[in-house]
Amino acid sequence: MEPVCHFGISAVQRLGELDLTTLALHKALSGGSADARMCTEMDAPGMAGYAFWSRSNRALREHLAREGWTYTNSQSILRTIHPSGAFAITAVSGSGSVGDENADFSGAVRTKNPKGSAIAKLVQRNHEQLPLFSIGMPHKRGEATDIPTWFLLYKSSKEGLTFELSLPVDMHGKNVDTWRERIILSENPFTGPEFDIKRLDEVPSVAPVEVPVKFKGAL
Amino acid sequence: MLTASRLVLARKRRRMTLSGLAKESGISVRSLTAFENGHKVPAPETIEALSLALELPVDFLTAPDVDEISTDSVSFRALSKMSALDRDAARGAGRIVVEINDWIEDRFGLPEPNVPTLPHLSPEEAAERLRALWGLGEGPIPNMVHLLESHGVRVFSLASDCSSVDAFSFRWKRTRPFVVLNLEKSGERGRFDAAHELGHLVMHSEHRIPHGVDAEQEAQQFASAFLMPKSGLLAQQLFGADARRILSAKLKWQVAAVALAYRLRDLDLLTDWNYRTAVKLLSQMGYRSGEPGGITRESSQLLGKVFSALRSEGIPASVMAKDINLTLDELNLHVFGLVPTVFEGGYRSSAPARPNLRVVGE
Repeated sequence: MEPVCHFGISAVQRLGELDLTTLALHKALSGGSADARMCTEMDAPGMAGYAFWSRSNRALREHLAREGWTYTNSQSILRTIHPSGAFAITAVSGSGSVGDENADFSGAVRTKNPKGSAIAKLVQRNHEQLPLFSIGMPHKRGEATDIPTWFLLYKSSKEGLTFELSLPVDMHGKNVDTWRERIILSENPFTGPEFDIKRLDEVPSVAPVEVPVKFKGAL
Repeated sequence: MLTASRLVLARKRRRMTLSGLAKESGISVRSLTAFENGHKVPAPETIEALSLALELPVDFLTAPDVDEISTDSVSFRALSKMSALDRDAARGAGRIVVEINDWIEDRFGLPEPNVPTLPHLSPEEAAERLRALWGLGEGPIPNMVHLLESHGVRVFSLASDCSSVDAFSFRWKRTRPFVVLNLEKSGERGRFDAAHELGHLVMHSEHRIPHGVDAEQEAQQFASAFLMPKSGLLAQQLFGADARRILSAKLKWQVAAVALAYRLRDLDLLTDWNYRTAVKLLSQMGYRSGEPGGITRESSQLLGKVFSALRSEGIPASVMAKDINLTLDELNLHVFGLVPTVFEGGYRSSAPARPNLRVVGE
């Protein structure tokens, strides 16, 4: 099967097939981002990244819980599980060309931190289950380790946050870096330096707050 | 026909007593009292005289009744120094901005109010909680006015003839929060005033009346904590900072140097002696009475967008002024002076200047 990248409307449609919305992903990332920004240099090194990881998964779970999604923290992988038990999502930090629809399917987009054997198994499972896996088809509920796991990859840079929801199928060394499917939303409300968690204590360059004003028409 | 409540509003807005208006309009105090009580109806020429004396259109005085903003619902800074006239003038200005806002809301989709009420928390806790609720982290706030507007607070400017008031806020009909800011202070002071009023909206709504020395002190502490969060200052390593360090550090938070010094003392990052020494030096450098080389005043993004949209729709601001029964000048006083300036006059082309030509010999 050829890898595929969904972008724009196609990305929103593909999210819909996974019973997800743009809002769900935005909620996850804004939750993680707000908590990461609470960290200062007086926190433990890496605390902002840790807070982002934990709180983005939590925010995703809180948003999806009312629709029957469940979760597991088994093997320290924070997975949010579709109500059917067919697949799971985990938010993790990424590096490379996260959010760039033109990036190669292998090598260009990677998980940021080294991953261990649990993730390696999970990615291997994704690879083996590919021919069988298709959303929309009924799935029997299995163990969390048996089901495909999508990665909600996020990356913070000077320009803000970029993100994508991607299905990993291979890793090289300690990094997951090969993807069968990538879903990239064109709508990104996290642009601007204030979303760069590495620059917390600098004077931010202009990061304007947008006040939405919409003309309804003359009376 | 004159609307009694509007005559009262106009008189208060103009900071006039009954005898002051009597002097200005040539109408007796007894008649004015009767007009304001609705016991007597003035003749059209009398309304005209009142309109002239109050510098407001006749339509303003004859438009439908207006509810006053109740004294209990408004917070005023420096209440003890204010006269009743000052307070009433500001409340009158507040009532006018409600009218302006109603006009805008009829025509524009604007952010809905999202200002929690946290009356049970200390100022420090309330500031911290609000930062968390609004997802602001521990960093500086780039623009207080825009932040307020993005959370559904309507921000207007205080007419310069109410200069004894720094700022005030209220929740109109217990729901829509308003903040009205005096534009004559420094940019840093304006941000602090906006945060101070936010403190009143957050801590002193509902059952807590936003009055008195305690309430003012609380709002002051809230503003300080909201603009300069404790953990942010700790991370900036400002322990024992001297005046020079304070001047450098304040740029990050866009606050007055003295306000930062005060906050550092409050957080025990400066001893009393350090604080006094730093403030003394800052005063000598002119930072007590002003903010040399300070930031520019923040303005309204919302109103700027409204006027820009109206202009592109071909609706002049004069239509807005007329609908609200104000003069353009009066309208402009309340909207940060953002009313687009229109230069009246027809098209005129001047004859092209005749170039000076001369024959140049070889």
